[in-house]
Amino acid sequence: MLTILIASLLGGCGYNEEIRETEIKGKLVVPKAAATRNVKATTDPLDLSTVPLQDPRLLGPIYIGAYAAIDENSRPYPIPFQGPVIDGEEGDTFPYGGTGVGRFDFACYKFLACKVTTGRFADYADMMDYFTNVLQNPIKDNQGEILNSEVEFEQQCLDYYYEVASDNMAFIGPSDFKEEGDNYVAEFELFHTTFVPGMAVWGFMDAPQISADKLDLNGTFSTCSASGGRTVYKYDQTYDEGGAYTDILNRPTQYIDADDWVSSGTIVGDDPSTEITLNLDIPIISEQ
Amino acid sequence: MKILRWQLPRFLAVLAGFLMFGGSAQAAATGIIKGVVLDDGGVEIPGAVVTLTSPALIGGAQQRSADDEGRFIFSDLPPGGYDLSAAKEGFSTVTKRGVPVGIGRTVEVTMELKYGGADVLVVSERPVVDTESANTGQTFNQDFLSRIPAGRSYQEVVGSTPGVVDNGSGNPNSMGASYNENSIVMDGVNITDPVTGTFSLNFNFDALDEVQVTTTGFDPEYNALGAIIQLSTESGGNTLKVSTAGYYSNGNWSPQYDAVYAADGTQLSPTGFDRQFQAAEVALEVSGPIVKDRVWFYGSYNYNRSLFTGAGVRNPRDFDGHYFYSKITAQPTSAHRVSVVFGANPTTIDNINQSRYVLPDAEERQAQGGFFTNVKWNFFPSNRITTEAIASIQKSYIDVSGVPCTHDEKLGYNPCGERQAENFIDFETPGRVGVGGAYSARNSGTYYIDDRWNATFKVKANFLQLDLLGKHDIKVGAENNSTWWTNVQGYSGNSMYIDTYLVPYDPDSLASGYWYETTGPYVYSASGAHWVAFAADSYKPIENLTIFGGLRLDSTDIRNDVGASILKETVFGPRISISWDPFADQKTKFFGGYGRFTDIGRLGITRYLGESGLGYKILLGEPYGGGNTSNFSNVYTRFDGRDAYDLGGNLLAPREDAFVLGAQREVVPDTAVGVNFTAKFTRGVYAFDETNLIYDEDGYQYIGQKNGQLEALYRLRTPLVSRRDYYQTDVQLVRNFAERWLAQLTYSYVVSKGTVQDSLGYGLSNPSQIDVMYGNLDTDVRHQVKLAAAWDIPNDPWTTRIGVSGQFFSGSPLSRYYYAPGGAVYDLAGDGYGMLREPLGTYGRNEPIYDLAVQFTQDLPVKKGKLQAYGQVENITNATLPYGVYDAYISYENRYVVYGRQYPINGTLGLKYEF
Repeated sequence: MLTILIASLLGGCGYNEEIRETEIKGKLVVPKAAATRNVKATTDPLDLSTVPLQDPRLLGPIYIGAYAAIDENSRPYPIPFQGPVIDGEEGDTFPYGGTGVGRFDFACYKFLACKVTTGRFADYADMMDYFTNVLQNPIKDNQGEILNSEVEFEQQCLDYYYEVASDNMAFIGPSDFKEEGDNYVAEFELFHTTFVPGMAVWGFMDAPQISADKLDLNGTFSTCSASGGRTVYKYDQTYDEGGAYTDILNRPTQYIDADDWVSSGTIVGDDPSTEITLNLDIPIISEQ
Repeated sequence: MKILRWQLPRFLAVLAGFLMFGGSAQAAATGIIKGVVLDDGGVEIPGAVVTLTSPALIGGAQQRSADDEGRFIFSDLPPGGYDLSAAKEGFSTVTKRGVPVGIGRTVEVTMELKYGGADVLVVSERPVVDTESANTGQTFNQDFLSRIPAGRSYQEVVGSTPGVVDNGSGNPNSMGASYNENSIVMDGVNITDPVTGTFSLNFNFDALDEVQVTTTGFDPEYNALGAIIQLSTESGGNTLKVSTAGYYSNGNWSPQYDAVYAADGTQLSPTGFDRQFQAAEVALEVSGPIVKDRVWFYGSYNYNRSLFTGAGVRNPRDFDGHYFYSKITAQPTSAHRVSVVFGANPTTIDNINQSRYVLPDAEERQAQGGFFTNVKWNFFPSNRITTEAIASIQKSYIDVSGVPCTHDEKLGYNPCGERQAENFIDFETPGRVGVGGAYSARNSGTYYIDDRWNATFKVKANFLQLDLLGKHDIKVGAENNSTWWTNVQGYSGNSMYIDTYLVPYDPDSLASGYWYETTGPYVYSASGAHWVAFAADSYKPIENLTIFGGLRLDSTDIRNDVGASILKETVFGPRISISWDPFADQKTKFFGGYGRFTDIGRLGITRYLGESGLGYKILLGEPYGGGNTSNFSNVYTRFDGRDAYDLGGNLLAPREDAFVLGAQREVVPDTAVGVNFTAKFTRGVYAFDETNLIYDEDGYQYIGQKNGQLEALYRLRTPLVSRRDYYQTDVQLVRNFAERWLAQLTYSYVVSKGTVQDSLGYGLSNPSQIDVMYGNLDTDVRHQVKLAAAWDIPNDPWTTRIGVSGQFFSGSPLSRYYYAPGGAVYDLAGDGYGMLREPLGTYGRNEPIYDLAVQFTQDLPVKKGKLQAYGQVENITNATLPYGVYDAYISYENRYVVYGRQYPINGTLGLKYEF
């Protein structure tokens, strides 16, 4: 009886679910150069000169995927192996899993759709400063007026989300990154990834568009669809909150453009519990 | 018989040694009286004749001769009051009147005879403390059921049990378990729905003799992750009895209110609406002897009608139920008892959607019910050996279709066309649905035909008072349960129009977007086989110590439509408990126990993994007429359950380890106080995870798909990380009915932590996400108070009874399901739910719930029989739990919205006459 009792008690403990999916943890290393961009030097509309500026708020969302292998030949930069090209369109890459560091979030004004990445801004004032002084594309309210008050910004957000405290807002708060020498470092976790020994982890950062002559486009991202996300009906206004495209990890080359940064990839060994390091080490240089 | 007496104890001694413990014959839906006959010096009197009589006892008086130690035992006794007398030549005869017997309870009685004294008649003690049991829960006997306003259905009565949360659905949550994890047993037969794990039938309330709710029970004959709900039914008697009653309830006069809450639980605004609530019930009972003391009959009929109208809806949810129950019990000899039961409960419920966006001609009728029958044979080869064999079969059905049409315009239900006959149901005209439900239709457009069968065969034997280093009551038994399920779903005319909208919820702006055509209805079937073996030993090494040990073996095999095993497992369920009566006076006990319980699965689980399917194609309508071909095609595509779901590796039958520790003491006669602590740890709760879509860092947005197609693929799993941890501490006062009053008061402090509350939830539940993704944890309330009290006012003969019941629950946490409008990025799965992997900020709690009801009954003078007037007011505080928390959700605007309340302040008047 005692044997049966112990055996049956332990029965659940030894249960093997035979699930191949697991969580793969890693460290993302982004050189500070990736957060350095040439921004407009003055506020004079006729002066298109630029100066380099290093600011972690210039880091866009970073997409990370686990793939069968890395293809280093098809493009000037490494990409995941992908399916055959048919009718000129690149095939899917079929990742085993993936995640991001920073995501798009709607920061209460339709002007900000597809322009705000989580984990980059400490508070409302920080975000206003970034758009006004770094991008020179100040935030406008839904009537098209330039926003001058972080109090008004907060009130708009509390009203919009029916929240009672700003710590419920995902787009402000602690930074995703820590400084380590010449790099910014963040932790990530590939959730629910189908584990295949020897598979590769690869990623890229979508950098915000910045130019000195098209200021109204400053801060936008190629991986975000302005017509995606929830559709908002507010009085006589209808607009979308914007959201990430749904095939970013399947067709990354469609979204990688100038000023983005790409990883050369890292191989996952036989033990998925071993933490990996992913370096975002290859800048995409504009052809001009 | 001598051979049996000689052989069985030896065999059972070996078995008992193997088990380490002894076992109690706690028969299903019956109880035991045992005791000892002593003289006034405390010396046993062997050979004393002990006689038991009761109106509940078929076969007439039972007699036992006290054994060499002066002991006697009566088993398999239906619940009720018994008269017990003991006589011995030269001694006085002592009679104890009203010895109470309850389901599964053993009553210990000491009969003290005086040498040469006069005969003595005493009222029996009514022991409050069951000193031989470590079970937790509550028994609702006739004293309680007739006096306390706990509802006129067994489903409602269950909600009065400490640790049980009545969520309004008729399937309460017991100690953190899901609503579909209770086990409902009627007279020893499991009648739990084999597909959903919920209740399978509505039942005549007056036919209930006793309801016992065991929230943690150690008897291995029974098994459930939630509560074991045992119903004992009436059997009739030697007196012809006719009883008829009528009740009418109305809540229309109740204040109208509902609320919208902010995320922190702050009430933003009341939203009054024009709903109505009315209910009526007619009950008839006839019982009596066919052959006095040998054959009894019992018959009961209930008619239930209720009209409930939701917010802004014109036509009521029209519930129309007929419940039949009959039983014939025969005891031709003292060694044999046979009972035959038949019951049925045909019911229709019209206008079940109750949505303001569903037009009357698109409303639906749910026809439900079924029948159940069983034959039970009890064989008593000796006073200390009892056996029982039960064969039962039950069919239940749920059919949903359009509401039958009517030419009665005043009724306002689905109007008939000119050429349509009354009650015509349209299975040909395609329906039209749009965002928010069907609001542009000529009929509901869908139909659903569902049949469920459940056949049970069960045998068991009890061996009582065996000697082996003390006294053993041993029970062994086996059970086979076979279940079948067939389900047909289809579209009327094999088509369904899907309307898009130009202005939200404006039927005038609708336009057909596209429509489905199918090759025919979807037909699904499944079956299950479940074997159980159990053995138990209630061992008393000394008179005041009970060690109960048991072992249960569940072997289950649930198969889908192609016969593939979805869940096939054998699970051991060990049980052990100790109960100690330190003063040996049946007034105190310290108790503790451990048990493992298993969810052996439901046929509904297989549905997600079925291979039956249908062909469908999508045809494009007006908005797509401009050359937008999208990805739709005009060829039939096959769809089946496995297109969206898969089985993930091995499935584990979910299991629960439960621990109980407590103490109880009768402080004054009939009144006891107690405290007990219960901990339950459930692992391997059924959950889905999603295998195809890839989320970003906090699960808010999809950023890729594993197979390149934007579709959610779900997988059924029972990961150990899918869990519930539940802790409950009760402080309780119980006074049994005596000296005209009864009272029960329980305060419970509850901590409940879980992943998914529903055993089959629809939320995505990847292992890492399970920690923060869960459904509505109804039972995750921190404080519960349950109160019941009754007083018979001493104004005989026209007795007036007053009963009160009340409950308090501190608010449950707001759900972390996020309701997202279709098309949102975070709802690409199209299931209406988005999800966040990390919770943002702190979420509020629902408002506390107060529930108070008062009942008056007044006996009225009549020449013959008994006439009783009845009045009741329910939900006096108007803060009863909303009708299912499932009718509330956090909207995409992060507001908690409650649709409606099923139970307004509600007054009931009734009249009952019996003779």
